[in-house]
Amino acid sequence: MTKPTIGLEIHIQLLTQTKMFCRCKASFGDPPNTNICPVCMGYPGALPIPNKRAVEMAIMLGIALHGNIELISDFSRKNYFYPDLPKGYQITQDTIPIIRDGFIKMNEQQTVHLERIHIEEDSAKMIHGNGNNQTHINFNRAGVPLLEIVTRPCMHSHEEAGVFLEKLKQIISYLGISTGRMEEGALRCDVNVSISDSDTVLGQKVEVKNLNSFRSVMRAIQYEVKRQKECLENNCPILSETRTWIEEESKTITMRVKDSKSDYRYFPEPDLRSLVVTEDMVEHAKSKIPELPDEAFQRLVSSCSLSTYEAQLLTSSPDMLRYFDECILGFPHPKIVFNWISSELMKIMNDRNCSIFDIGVTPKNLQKLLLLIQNGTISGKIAKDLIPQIIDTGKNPQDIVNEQGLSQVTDEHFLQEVVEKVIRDHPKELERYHSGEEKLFGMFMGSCMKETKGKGNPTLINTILRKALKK
Amino acid sequence: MMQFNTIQSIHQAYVSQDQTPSSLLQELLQHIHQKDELIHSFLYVCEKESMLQTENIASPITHELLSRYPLLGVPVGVKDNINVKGTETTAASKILQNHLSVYDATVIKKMKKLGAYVIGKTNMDEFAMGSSTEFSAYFQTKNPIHHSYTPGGSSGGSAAAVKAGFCPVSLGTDTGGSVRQPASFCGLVGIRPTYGFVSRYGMTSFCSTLDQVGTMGTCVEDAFHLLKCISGYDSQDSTSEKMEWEDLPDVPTISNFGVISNMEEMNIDPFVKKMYDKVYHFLSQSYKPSSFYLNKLDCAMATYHVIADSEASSNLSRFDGVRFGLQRKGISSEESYIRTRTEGFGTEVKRRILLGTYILSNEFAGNYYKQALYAKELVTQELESIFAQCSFIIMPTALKMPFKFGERKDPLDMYYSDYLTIPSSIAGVPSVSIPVGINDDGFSSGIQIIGPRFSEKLLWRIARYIEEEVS
Repeated sequence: MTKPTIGLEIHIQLLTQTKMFCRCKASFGDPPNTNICPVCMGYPGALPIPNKRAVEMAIMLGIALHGNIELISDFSRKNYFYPDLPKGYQITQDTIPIIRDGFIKMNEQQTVHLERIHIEEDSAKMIHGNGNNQTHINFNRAGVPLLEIVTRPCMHSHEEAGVFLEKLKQIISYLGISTGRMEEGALRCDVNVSISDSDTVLGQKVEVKNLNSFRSVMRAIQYEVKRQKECLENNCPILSETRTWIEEESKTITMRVKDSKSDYRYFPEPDLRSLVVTEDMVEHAKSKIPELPDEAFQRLVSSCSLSTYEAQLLTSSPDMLRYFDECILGFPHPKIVFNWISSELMKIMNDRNCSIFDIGVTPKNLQKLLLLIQNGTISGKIAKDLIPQIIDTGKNPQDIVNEQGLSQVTDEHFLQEVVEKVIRDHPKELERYHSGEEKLFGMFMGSCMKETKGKGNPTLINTILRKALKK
Repeated sequence: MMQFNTIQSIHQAYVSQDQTPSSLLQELLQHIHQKDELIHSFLYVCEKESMLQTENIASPITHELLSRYPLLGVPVGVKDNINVKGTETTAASKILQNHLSVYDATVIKKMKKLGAYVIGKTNMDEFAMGSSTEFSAYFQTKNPIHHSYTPGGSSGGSAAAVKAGFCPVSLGTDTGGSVRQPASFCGLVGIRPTYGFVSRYGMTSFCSTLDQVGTMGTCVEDAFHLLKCISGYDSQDSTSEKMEWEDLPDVPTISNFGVISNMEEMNIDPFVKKMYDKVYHFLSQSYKPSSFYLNKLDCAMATYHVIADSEASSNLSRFDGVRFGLQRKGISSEESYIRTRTEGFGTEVKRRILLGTYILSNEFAGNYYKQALYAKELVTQELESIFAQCSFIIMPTALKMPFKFGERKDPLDMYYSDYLTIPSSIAGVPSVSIPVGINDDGFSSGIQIIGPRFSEKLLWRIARYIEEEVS
């Protein structure tokens, strides 16, 4: 039986204010080549200064992923020529990364182990084409801090890799250190795939690049496993090579064959001292780590009595969890809050593809809306109708209810009259009801609600109507 | 112009109102126009910039003003590998021809803040690789003492400009002796400070581990005065030490001084030996001499070239024609690199890039470089152990007296020019070269005083003492 083995190399862009080694803004969405300086442009004489915040983020991720923090690590130069690399070398970490080991627990049975996490700088972005055979280079991205996360070759299916990436993305977004958005290049993933029929010896490793979504990572692994199996079956050698994923054709093709290890002439970066991590820095980083998804999940299941499905949905993003937590602060009924989030609010989120905080219903307003239902001021139906108005006007639900006179009618005398009028208006239906057609109760109920323009208290109407129909 | 060849003489002329900064500048510019045609010390004379700066100096110039601006109206020659905003900074290389600096190096900022102005950018060996200034891509600089001789190098232009009376002081850079050796060839005082005491920010890196900016002047007072003004911690240079001039240790009680017994094995020029003996006997009258054998002297030379060439190969990768400097187009980026760098770099620079690239290549897996760093540590320890037994060491700056153009054709011969300046470079300790005696050709012999790290105040005292009594 052949068994595939998969390892991942992931780069995440850190959400620091400034670049890794200079004080330029680390926001490359700005007009091209506006966030640049002598340092990130590799001008003669310019020298790098490490970004403390990026180091802190690396420590945070190291702690969150149970890694070992190296108290003294080294910066190194990786030398190669490419137009997007201003200095002709990338400052990275080679022999001693800031974090070693670590793992992500996928479920009770499976754990994915990490090799290392290290700090490095991003390259510039090359924009090809425009039909004039030119390549433009935007240096806004040059020098943006990256963390490279390398897993051990310990996954065995594309599904496993997919779950790992989801988990990792969830953790980094909880830590707030990166958006983790692969479509924007904030998270990049290269894959190493090999297959072997031995349990102890790994097969020839093949690297796959150019993966632009979690889906393409999974599909590329699937393709590569199948391709390599066929190679083995047909006695074709599997080459040590780097392949590239062609999304449109759903296949990988050879990019370059590695005859020997590329010669990057690594050596310790002489413009920087060793990176020293102090106890204080570790403590400070620890204090900045929020509740992580696994802990939050446990809390929701045990203290909020939510199902695993519900807890999973609420912990899928840090925003969702924070929104939920803010809601139950003033309205301590987790189940009801969950129901409103998962139905009404998620519908809007999905339509608009935005964060729950951006749809226009603040946790305060959702709390108020739910309280209005709970104390009988409005019905659930009216509450649902109110959501678009809250979004449009940004007004407090109570104010909208007051302005539009939407409060429920609980005046029994008035409701009694309504019920009697409805019965009077439907003599035939009354007859059929009395002869046993009990499902007509719903029709009477609906007519009463319509008569009160939806404002009549349904419970009261229900009681009065039942009494009246018995006569 | 010789009456204005010290900072003191210039300041006296300002205070007595015999000269204003502008009038002095006019005289200097005239002098440069007449004489530099022949000497070629400047690659670029900052006429307009200097005029603007001198015109802005307030009058009258009083002693009180000078105590606040200790470099007020002082023209400084600056080696062309130090960035001065708005002027060309070419490091005497074709690859940076017409390259305008977009920022001031930290040393330039400090100097300007204290009243100095840059009168011109001085010629040098391309990227500071050389010992005669013959490797400038533009022209040779003549030794003002005797025009058929080289001024030494690599800071040959900075030495020639001061010797010719174009400016009282100048900045050079010293990686393996490039300030001290030309200072000694031109009969000047030249200082290489403790590594990390003067910021490297804005100095075009050759060998980051060893590069330091140094100063030259016609007298001990001026060279140290300028050093004092440019020294101190710089947050933009990670290798800079948290040390200010005021925090330097006071001059200790001097018990004895050291001499290197290896000298007996060396083939030293008789005049150099005579002048060295003269200093030795003079110092012996006050302090006890102790003799030490420097086991690692030969090792220092090899160590130096491995470290310097390795780092140079990487530091010079940024000159690729993509963002600044010379650009030669090709059908691919690779071809463009090849054409740009083939045309842009001179023979000696190419030799060092090739050597450095080879040393760092997979073949040695970086071991050569690491071994060299280890050897550097051994040299440092040996010197430290000597300084534990004596206050300072004296030795000649160069084994030989100045040489003529074309005299040293074998690169190894040229490398041996730095034989005695390299040990202090490797150990990161300060060293000052002072001129002693005058031979029939008008040349002095340079004698080095070397002290432990941050012993600049001690070196100043000893240098002044020798200058007063012997020179």
